[in-house]
Amino acid sequence: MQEKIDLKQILQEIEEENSLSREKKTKVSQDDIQKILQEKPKGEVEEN
Amino acid sequence: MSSERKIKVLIADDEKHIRLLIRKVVSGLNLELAGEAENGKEAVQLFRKEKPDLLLLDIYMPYMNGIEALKEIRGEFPNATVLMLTSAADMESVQKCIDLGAVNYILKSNPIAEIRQIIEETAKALKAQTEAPDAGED
Repeated sequence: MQEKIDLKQILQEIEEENSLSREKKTKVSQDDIQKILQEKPKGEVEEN
Repeated sequence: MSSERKIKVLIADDEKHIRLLIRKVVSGLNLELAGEAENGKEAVQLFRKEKPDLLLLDIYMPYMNGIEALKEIRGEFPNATVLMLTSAADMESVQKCIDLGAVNYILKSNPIAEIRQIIEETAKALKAQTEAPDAGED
């Protein structure tokens, strides 16, 4: 008997793994970034 | 009439179409284009040469990425104003850039109007600083 390789199944598994690893990184929005920046004490732009 | 000094902007992005877009934003805001870099290494070299008031810096670039370039530039020029403009939407990159002294972090996924607005606000703040008298009083 020949063993059938299900390419579709393999591709699906790879895709699932990829999406899982993508989700591991915390995605931020522009609003989140602006909040982080507002919380940070100002000073970087200032020159003397 | 007084001759206004324009804010000099350096653009660093490996993507040609992004550079073109930002170039249009820069000229639309009446800012001066100091130059364009295609990678981090070039950004550092051009920064040294042109000493721009503002650097718009991408992260994902060949040879030297934007975070390394930011580190090098801020190490050499602690007062450098660097605005990140990137598609890297992860907290680690945002935090790293802010810790290294980037004044803002714009996601490329934002509408162009929003990107334009952040650049404009940063340029205005810079202009106010350069025009302010040296006195440290209110």
